[in-house]
This record gives sequence, structure tokens and C-alpha cells, in this order.
Amino acid sequence: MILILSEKSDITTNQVLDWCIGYQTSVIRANAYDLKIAHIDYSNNYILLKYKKEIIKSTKIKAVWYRRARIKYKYPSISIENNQLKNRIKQHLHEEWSEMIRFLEQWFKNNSVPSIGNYLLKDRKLTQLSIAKQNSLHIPNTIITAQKSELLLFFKNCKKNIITKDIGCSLSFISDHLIIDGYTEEVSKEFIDNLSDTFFPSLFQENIVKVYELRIFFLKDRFYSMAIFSQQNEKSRIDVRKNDDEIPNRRVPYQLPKEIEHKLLLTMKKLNLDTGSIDMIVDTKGDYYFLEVNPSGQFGMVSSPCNYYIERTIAQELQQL
Amino acid sequence: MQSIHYIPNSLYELIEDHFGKTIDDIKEAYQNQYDDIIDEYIEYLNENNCVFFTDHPECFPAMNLQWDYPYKVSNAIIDWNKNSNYNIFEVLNQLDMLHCKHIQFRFYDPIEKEFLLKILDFLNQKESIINSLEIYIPNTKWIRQEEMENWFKEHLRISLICIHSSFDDEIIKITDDKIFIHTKQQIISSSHCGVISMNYFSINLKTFTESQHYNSCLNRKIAIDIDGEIKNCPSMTQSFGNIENNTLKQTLNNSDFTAVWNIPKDKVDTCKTCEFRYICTDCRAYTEDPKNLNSKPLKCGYNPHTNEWKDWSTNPLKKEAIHYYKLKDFKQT
Ligand code: SF4
Repeated sequence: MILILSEKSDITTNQVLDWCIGYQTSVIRANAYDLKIAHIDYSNNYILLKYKKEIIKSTKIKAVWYRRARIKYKYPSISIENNQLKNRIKQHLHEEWSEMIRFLEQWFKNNSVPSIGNYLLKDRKLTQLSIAKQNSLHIPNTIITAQKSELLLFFKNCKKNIITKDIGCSLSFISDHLIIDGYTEEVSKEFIDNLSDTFFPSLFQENIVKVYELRIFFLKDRFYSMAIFSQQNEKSRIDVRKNDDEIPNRRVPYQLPKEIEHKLLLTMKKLNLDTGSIDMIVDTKGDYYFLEVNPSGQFGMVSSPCNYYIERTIAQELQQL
Repeated sequence: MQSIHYIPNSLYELIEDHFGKTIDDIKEAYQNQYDDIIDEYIEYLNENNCVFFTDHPECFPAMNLQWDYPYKVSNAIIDWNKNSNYNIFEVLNQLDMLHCKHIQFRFYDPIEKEFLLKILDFLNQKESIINSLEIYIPNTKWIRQEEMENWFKEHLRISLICIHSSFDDEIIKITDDKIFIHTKQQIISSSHCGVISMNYFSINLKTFTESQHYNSCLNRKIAIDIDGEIKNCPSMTQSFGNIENNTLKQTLNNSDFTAVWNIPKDKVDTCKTCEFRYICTDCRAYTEDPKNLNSKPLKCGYNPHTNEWKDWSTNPLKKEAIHYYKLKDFKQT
């Protein structure tokens, strides 16, 4: 039996699931709240999991795909007046639960249950950039600063062409009247001039003049690459997520040079990632720049325009693990 | 956003034979005799956004044109008229078990509203994998525009409702992938089907790749005609048994049944030389030579050699075949 941990709205999971069912692989797809830890048996070394109404022994699980999101728990409501105490208890329950989940993941690891993806570690942009650099990939000039004067100097050194983006994950906020998405934005001289002398530490990066961007899905030593010609379209010049439907960006299959694949492979190994969506750009000189890798990134946007059938490959992979 | 561009045969040859070469190399390959024309071609392709220029053609491999689908069957047609009395719920049960996601219901005669609602509720209650329904029904007393539009919200599976034999011709786009149609056309039997027209061309990667390998109408399709006969398509004569005493699963395992899936346009007479062959629909039920399984669709008025569309039904060369199917039709009713 194969366990897929995901979230309800993830279309990619549905597509992989279709292939699994087509191959008659027995599989459980657990979204955030579907799975509970019912019992941990130390003497016989197994964990009993409750999936909806079913009880599943952890030893029955032959492979795990950590697709997205962690297993969550709906904490009981607490009827205590003292708000401070109430929050502390909530936090404590959360910590207790997280420890159990961590143990479950560790259990699969210790018992050599093969998997795709990983929850335990998540190095973000900052570490990723330094590891990529150590493996002799180009990265854009990058600083994190809280000082206007430093930023101005950086701005000058980067030929007055810089961008800013999130340090961790991109911000996404939706309420009734307001939608905010943390996109990559160009930073102008005017913008810097209007800043106060110090500000919250932020990430700035040289804006590489790109010929095209690359989206690369990595799975167990294999690369599925796609070039995006975002320059055709003013809106998506800085951030392809702002693509508009009128003039779609050209998206075509891409073959990375072997040398770049090799450096990426070393980077992924060092980051302990067996899968992920890598962002790169190619500049006018033909140099490849590593930007970041999203360990649970979407690959549908690479798979369908390039006709790669990555969803089918993952299903086959899960079956063979 | 999809569009098709016509190119002369010589440009096709240029693209096929000189893929990835520089413009200068291409010109030279033609002994620099056609430099002006080649420039014109490249400009045309560039203006229409069909090409880009690069110093690294080795990084841009040709796309793999594979096509695949997780399940044995992807779509079904269910026909129903006033004389039909097979168990439609049993058919849906079996389709659900086969993971068939797309179903087209064609009601040729007026039906009760309750019957239709019962079908929708049935799928709802079983949380069926069937996720897209097209419903063709004749204009009937109980049909109210507003109420029907609401159905799209209440029954998320519905992707298309077509009211035929209506007073009007009108297409209403409910959302990007949900359509409400009124048509004056009287869709009273399966013989309405099989018309080939540019309006039905489907310009996308899925159709393009599927058509390279499989039949662009029948691949992964199963159908139940008005009498409950299991067929590749209700218009076809060959039945693989009645649903009352055969299962869809058995039928799908019968290689005679799936044989027609493996007739791509490249194997169809005339179509094999047509520039539309990978975006065109097909029809194996009504063909120019009813005895030849690889014959061109009867209801296509296009001649790929002259590039002209003509009314297929008045073409004297097709008279014989039209006559043949009319007789058949007559016998059936
Ligand atoms: S000749 Fe064949 S491929 Fe061409 S338009 Fe007619 S049916 Fe379609």
C-alpha cells in the first residue's frame, strides 16, 4: 500500500492518483486531517494509523509520497477564560502533535520505507543559494540588508537594476476585499529614496537580464526542463506568475547542458532533496543562474506544455519503490 | 488563443528537413536561389509567433508526441428516446466503476424533469468519478431558461446543456468551461452526428498528440444506443451485445471492440494527406465507402488536394453512400 500525503485542493495529486488507480496500485491519499496516529506499539515496532474509519498498520505501507502539507489535527476547543493560558495550551498541543508526526516520518525513514519528497528538512532560499554557489552554479548577486545606505551601494554596483523578493515563502493573503501575492518586484531609485534609513531586513538581488527562464522538475536524478520566454510580455518580465492570457509566454521542452545538470544534481544531493522544482534563468551571455528550488513545487505547469507525463512517471515510480 | 496558420508545402519541407539550422545554412541548402522567399517565410513565421531565434538549438529538443490515459475508457455516449427501456442507472454504475469521467446524454424525445434530476442525484450520491456531463434534450414545456442556468451551479458535473428543436440558435457561456446552447436543429436520432466542420476542430496538444496514434473520435469511447446495444458509437451498425446481458468491462476487453481505436487519420483514405488531420474530429460510422473501415468521413466536404470546402450532402460522388445510410436509417425506425 502506498501513502500519499497531500492537501485537498492539490490537482497534481488527483492526476497522479488517476495513474495509480489505472495501474491498480493500492493507495491511500491522505489530506491534512484524514490521518491520525491511533497507537504506537514499542514492543512490536509499529504505528497504528487511523485513516478516515480504517485502521492501518504502518508496516503495511510500502512507499510514501510526501506531496504537500503536513498531517494536521483539529484541536479541541478549550474552555478557559484566561486567554494567555488558553493560547499556551493550544501551542502546547500543537507541539505535542508535531512531535508525533515527526516521529511517524522518522519511523518510515528508520524502517527504510522508500519515499519521494521529504517533510523533515526544508532549507530555503538562503541556504540553497549558498549550496548552489559551492557547487559552482552562478547565482545572482544577493544581499540581505536593513540599511538604506548599504542598499544604495548595492543598487549602484548592480548597474541600478535590482529586484526584491521574499526570504522564506512568498506571502499570499486573501480576504474579502484584499488579495496580496508576494511577487518578485523591481526596485527603483525612487523607491529606495522613499525608504527610511533603516528598515526590516530584506532580500535584494541583482536583476539578471534574461533571455528565458527555466522551470526544472527534478525527480530521482532525472531532469524535466522547460524554457519560458517571459520577455515577450511586459507583465511577466519580472515575475512569470503575472503571465496574462492574451499573449501567453512560449513554454517549450528544454535540454539542460550536461554540465549544468551535474552541478544541479550535486546541489540537490547536498540539500537532501530527491525531488523539487528548480528555478533558473539564462542571461544574454548564455550563463545559467540558479534562483531557488521548491521541494514540493507544482510540476503540472511543466508536464502539460512539454507533454512529459510526469504524473504518470511518479505513479510508476511509486509502484516500483 | 489557439490558432492555425496555413503554410505552403515548400515551407513544410524547409521546416522538416532543416530543423535547427541557421538561416544562412538553409539558404545555402537551396543554392541561394530562393533567398527572398526564405526571408519571407521566416518573417511570416516570426510575425505569427511560430518561431524564435537562438544560438543554442541543441537545448530545444523536439517535443515527444506521446499520448496516454490512465483508464481504459475516457468517455461515453448514452442515447435515449421514448422507446428506450434499458437500465440507465446500471450503465452509470458500470461507467463509474470503469472510471469513465466524461458522459454525453442524448435525449431524442422529451423526458420528464424528474428523470433527469434522478440521474443527477444518483451521481451526486455515489460521489461518482464521472465529472463532466453533456446533456442534449429537446425543448419541452418544463424547460425554463433561468432554472436550467441554475443547474450549472447546483450540479457541478454538468459541462454542457444543449436544448435542441428550440426556437432559437443561441450559445451562452456560463463560465470558461460551461456552455448552454439553444439550437433549432432537431436532434432526433443518432444520424445527426458525424459532421466534419472547421467549427469542430480542436486545436490543442491533447487532441494533436492523441490523433497521431489513435482515432480522434472513437478512442477510449463506449456507447449505449437507444435499444441498450453496446457499441463504439450509437451510429455504428455493429453491436457488441445488449447491456441487459453484457457488461461494459467485458466489451472493453474484446479486441474487436477496441480495433477501431487504432485507426488514426494517418490510416484514413484522403485524410492521410489532409493538413487538418491532427486537429480534425473523425467519424467511422458514416464513411464514403461504408464497406471500407479506412474510408474518409462521409460528412466532410473538404478536399485536401484543392483546399476547398464544399457541401458534402450535394456532392454527386457521395450519392451512393448517402443512399446506403438512408436505407439503414429507415430500417431502424
Ligand atoms: S479530409 Fe479528413 S482530416 Fe481533412 S477535414 Fe476532412 S475529415 Fe478532416
